[in-house]
Amino acid sequence: MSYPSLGEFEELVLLIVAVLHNEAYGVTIFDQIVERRGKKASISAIHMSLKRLEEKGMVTSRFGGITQDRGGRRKKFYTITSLGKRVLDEQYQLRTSLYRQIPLISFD
Amino acid sequence: MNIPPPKWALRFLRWYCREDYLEEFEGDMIELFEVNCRRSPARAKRQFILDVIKTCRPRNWKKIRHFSLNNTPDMIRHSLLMAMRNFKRYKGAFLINLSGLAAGLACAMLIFMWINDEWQMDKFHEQDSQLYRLISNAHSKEIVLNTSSLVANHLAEKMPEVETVVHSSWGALESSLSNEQEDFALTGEFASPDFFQLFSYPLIRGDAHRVLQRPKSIVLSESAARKLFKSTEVVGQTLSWQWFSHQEEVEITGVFADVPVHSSQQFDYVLSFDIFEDYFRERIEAGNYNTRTYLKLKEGTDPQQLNHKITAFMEQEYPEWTWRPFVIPYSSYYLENTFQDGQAIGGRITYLRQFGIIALLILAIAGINFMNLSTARASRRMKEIGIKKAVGAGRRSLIFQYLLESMLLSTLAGIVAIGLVALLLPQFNQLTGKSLSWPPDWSLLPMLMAMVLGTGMLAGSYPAFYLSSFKPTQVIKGKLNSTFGEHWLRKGLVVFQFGISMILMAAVLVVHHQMLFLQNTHLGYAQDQIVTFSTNGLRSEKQQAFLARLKEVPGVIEASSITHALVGGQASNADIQWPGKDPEKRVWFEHGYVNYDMLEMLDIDLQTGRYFSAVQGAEEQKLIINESARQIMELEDPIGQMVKIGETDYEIIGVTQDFHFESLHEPVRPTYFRLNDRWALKMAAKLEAGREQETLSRIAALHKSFDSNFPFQYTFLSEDYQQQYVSEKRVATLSRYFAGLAILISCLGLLGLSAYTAERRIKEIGVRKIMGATTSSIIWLLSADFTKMVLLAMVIGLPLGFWMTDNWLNTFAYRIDLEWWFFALAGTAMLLIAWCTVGYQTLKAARLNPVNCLKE
Repeated sequence: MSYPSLGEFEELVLLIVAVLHNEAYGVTIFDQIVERRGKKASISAIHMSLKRLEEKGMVTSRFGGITQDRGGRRKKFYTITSLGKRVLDEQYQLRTSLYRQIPLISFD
Repeated sequence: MNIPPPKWALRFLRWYCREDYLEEFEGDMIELFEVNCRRSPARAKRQFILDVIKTCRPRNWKKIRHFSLNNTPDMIRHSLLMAMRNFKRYKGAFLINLSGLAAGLACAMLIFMWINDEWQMDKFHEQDSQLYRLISNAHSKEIVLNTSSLVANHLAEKMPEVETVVHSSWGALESSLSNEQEDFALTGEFASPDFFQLFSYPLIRGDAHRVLQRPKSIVLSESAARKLFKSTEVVGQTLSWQWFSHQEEVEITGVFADVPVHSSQQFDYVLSFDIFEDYFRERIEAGNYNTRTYLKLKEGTDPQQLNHKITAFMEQEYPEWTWRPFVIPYSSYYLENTFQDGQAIGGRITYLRQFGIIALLILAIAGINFMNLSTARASRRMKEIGIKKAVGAGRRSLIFQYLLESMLLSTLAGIVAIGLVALLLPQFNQLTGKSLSWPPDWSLLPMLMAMVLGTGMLAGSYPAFYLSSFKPTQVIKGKLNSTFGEHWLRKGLVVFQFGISMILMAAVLVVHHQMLFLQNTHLGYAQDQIVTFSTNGLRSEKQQAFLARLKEVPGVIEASSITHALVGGQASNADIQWPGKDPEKRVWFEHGYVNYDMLEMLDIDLQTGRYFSAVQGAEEQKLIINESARQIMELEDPIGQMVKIGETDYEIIGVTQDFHFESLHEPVRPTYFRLNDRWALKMAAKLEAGREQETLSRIAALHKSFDSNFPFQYTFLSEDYQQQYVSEKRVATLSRYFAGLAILISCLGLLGLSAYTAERRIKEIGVRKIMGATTSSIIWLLSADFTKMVLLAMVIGLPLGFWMTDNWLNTFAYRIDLEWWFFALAGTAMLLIAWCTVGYQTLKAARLNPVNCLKE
């Protein structure tokens, strides 16, 4: 079975959506990426990835309630779908199986 | 601390971002901004702006089209259907709009075709951009087309910008060509060898480089060749050319296609320049301006700079000459032939501009009718607009619908206008002296279409925006609050229409009176019954015999001869000295040679002294001057004074009253006459009244017996004189038509408006009548508004009209004074016309039975 392809950044975003579970929306994802990668990210790139992931059916979204912050705008929360989880699993298996087959190499 | 994110960036985001993404994006960005703000507001702002810009990518854009393209044909069909229904339903308004627009468009189309045709004059030469004419600035107002060929050649040698120089004679000469059996009167020019290389008159036979190289050669036009030889295979044949006493055997070296109508030079043949030089050899000197000079300048030459160089050159080489040569583009002379101090200040182009503006104004008046009627009748379409908006029509689609409607109307009007143009073109040609043909060049078609659709667009734009701005909830309830501004606009437009009409009307009156004044001014000599004609074929000694016989013809009261055609400018000369003359001053005199009895025949009155007389013996050293000349010479007692012209002394024997040979645009110039029968070659005869035709046929027979082959062509002096006013007459006639048209279209608009007002206030009138209002008070109620508008138009329009007509009159040296009653008459007439227009509607409304209108 073949799944839709996943870019590197997209995979990262998808992983973070999965990690944050019910708390994933633009700003939390942004913070996580900055924290974990230790690199700056752009919110617009995150938005793009989220929209693409949603189109590919790997995440779903829902609006949160209105709060005082954010100029009264609602948050949009993302959750990983079963398809998304399966894609992550496959990726993970592929990588670990490959990783295990790396012979012991010494870099001195 | 709550710093708001940059407003414009936020607005920009909202403007481009699609709605389903906007809330999320905006929220995230604001949240990030708020977090960042705690550290550095400035950086936060920068980051925010950067994010907004980065987010701006096509996938996040709003959809550009809200209605999909597939229903556009249906919408168009619907709009056209609605338009047609509206036309049918309100036939009155439709007809007013249609006829007004059609008349306006027809008028604009005619003028446009005319301007376009004039514009093309002389532009057909392939080297047009490099073709120049060398002309001279004589006095402040006058230019001389001729130059001295010597000076011109000298100048061309010194100026590296000049590529080619071509000379021609001072204008077309009427002369005779004969092929042994027959003589033909044809006009032609002398031109130097490069003539056909400079100008694009294509040669059918012969080579443009060589046709004028050999001495005594001639190039014929195609039609001249056919006339003379019935063929164009004529190269190598010889012809005999004759002009007065000059005669030459010339060889045909080429044939050119007939000169196109768009050329201001018109000629049947071109002779090689050596013949001209032979005749005038002793007269070719720096001071004799007898040739025309055309130049081809190197590409990219700045004529302004060249002119400066020419001025410097002339000051250095010919300091004694006051005439200053300068170059102008060859093709510009046709439209801009009036000069002031060597600068083109107008000419034909002034008239073209004026009529172009008038055509646009008339079109505007017609467009205003459409605007006013559609906005005034907005209430009729309230329900339609309200319902359309309620079911979801956007403003844009409503605007589209109304623009389509107005463009449909203008297209219909355009079709009617094209019919009108085709119908009126012969009359228009006669009026403007043009030969426009229908259908015109296809290249005009896009412009005409643009004109029609542009009118529709412009006239429809205001109603479209206005009608589509109604709020659906209000209009469905039937409320329509017209604002102050829109009343003001509608009234302003009516004032504009009537202001223009009034200006045109005043202009017509002024032009008419000036023309009457021109016709009735005593010119200082008798024009009636005097015919003039040339006897080109006769040698000068035979001319005297002819004149003697002419005097004996029954019906001829008197006959004589003169150098130039009497009307228009004579020759001018400044080489004249008199006692007490300031040697620095150069005064230009008009001069002419006359035969005995010429001045007497013309009834030019003497102030003092006597006419030339055969009994006085040798009169050739005598001079008669006019009053203006006497004043300039400042001679108290002129008789017997000696005047030196050139190298010869002359004695003044008489002073005449001033008389007008030239049009009254020009003041009377100082003039002198000399007696010389060898130069006075234009015959003039005074005929007995009542038997002109009989006498003329006798003269023709006499002419034939002397001068067998030349046709006898005569003109009456009065007609020649009137010829000078051709363009004024054109203005007079055209402005009359245009003023009529403008008034008509304005009144059509007023008629529509008044009909509508009366209809809308019908209940009010009914109530007023029941309460006891009289018919007259109702009439006043309805017409007061219109009266005020026309009065305002008068206040604005008449001073403007005064200023404009005064400017026009200033182009005449002799003019009428502007009388207050010209303008009072125009204003009153306009007011009366407006009253008559609204009168019928008003009266009908005022005499209505109130029961009928209140019953509904």
